[in-house]
Amino acid sequence: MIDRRPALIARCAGVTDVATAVGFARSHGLLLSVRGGGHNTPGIAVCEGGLMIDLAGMRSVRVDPVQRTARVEGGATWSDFDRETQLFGLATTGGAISHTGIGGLTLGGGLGWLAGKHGLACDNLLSADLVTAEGKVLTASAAENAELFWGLRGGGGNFGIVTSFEYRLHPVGPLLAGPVLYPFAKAKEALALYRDFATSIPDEANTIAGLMNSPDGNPVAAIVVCYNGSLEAGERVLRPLRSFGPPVADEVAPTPYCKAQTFFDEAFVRGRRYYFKSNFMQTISDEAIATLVEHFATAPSSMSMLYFQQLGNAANRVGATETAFSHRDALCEWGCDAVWLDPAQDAANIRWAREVAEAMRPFTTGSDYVNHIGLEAEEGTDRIKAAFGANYDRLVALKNRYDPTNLFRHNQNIKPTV
Amino acid sequence: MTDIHIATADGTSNVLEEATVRAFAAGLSGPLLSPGDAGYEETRKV
Repeated sequence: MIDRRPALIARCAGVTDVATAVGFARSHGLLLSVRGGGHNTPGIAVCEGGLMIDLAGMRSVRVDPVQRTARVEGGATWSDFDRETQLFGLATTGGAISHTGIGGLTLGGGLGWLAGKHGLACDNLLSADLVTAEGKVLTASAAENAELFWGLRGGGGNFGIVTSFEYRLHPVGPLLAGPVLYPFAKAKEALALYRDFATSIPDEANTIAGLMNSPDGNPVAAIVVCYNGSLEAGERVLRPLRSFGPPVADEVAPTPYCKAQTFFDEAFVRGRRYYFKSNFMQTISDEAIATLVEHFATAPSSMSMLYFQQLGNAANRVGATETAFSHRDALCEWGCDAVWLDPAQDAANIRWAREVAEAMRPFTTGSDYVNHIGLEAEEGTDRIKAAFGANYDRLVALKNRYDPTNLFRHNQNIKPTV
Repeated sequence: MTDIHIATADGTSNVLEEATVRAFAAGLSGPLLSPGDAGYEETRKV
């Protein structure tokens, strides 16, 4: 659905290219966008008629297995990252779709399968190298440019172009992971089970539950779980999910981490039409569940899904102002992923997603996950402010310092006030 | 390559002379693409 045509695309080969392109954009006053993995559904990576900086040529990953860290260039995807870190049996939290870019995901917070034990992707960031609007190359870490480092962990791409990220890694062996599918007739009970399960699980587990159509075309409720611990303990923890119902399918099994990262890949291949709505939730009420079940039955497309994605226990333990990602009290994000193929069905699918979002609004915090929204022109100023929550004013101060002319505006934009 | 019409941050457009664009491209190690170049269509798709 994103059909913007930049006048120029700089396919950067390294930091010097990025700094050169930023300097060119600044000196000529150009509209600028930055493409990392190109995964953001509203398409913030691509600007209309301006200069697009493409980082796809900068995807190297260097793992230090002794220190358990990885240094990764800003154009890498989580598939690139996981492939290299898993060679050493290591990983860090990194989304739930393997072709997501590390840059966008981390800068917006970074939910993922490992967040129950290890927090968000941004919680595992040790340092970042970036090119600022002035064209300076800085390192941000807890010890160096600490306020900027705070802002990079949830503030999106507002402060510069991160050319490399350094992450803390953790031992991650085969997970006990996979989907359990329940008949749609039992969707309310299954999602209530999910709610009770998600609020009482150990750190080793994290979950996504949803309403979708199975590969054979039948509507189902699904609970997808990853247990990052001993397989024996995982069997005990996951037993309530696998014995309920009975399920129509139970595909939970010992699973390599890289495979678990691809569970949702086929649902989000490029070339389809997408429209997403979502919000954070602190609790999942019976009414919220009933609302999702009712609206799923009216979806115009069989490819669409409604879901809850859990934040994760360790992510919840971080204070709301410790990083720029502020939604630490959320149990989960609910989301409506409208997916279809025919452009003639755009209006019907977008209308459906908006109707679901409106119906779900009373059950949410009213705040979006930064990574699931787009440009101010489409989202509105208030929605973007709400996505940064209580940290917005502090982020504005940071924007004033590092990008007072708002060179980096083609994003979930924090407007400078100077 | 000819002069390039390009959008500016303030919502207007500007014309970059061919020599300016060439000088920019020469300062990059990676390629600078414009509409019609090989790889342009693939790169702009997200």
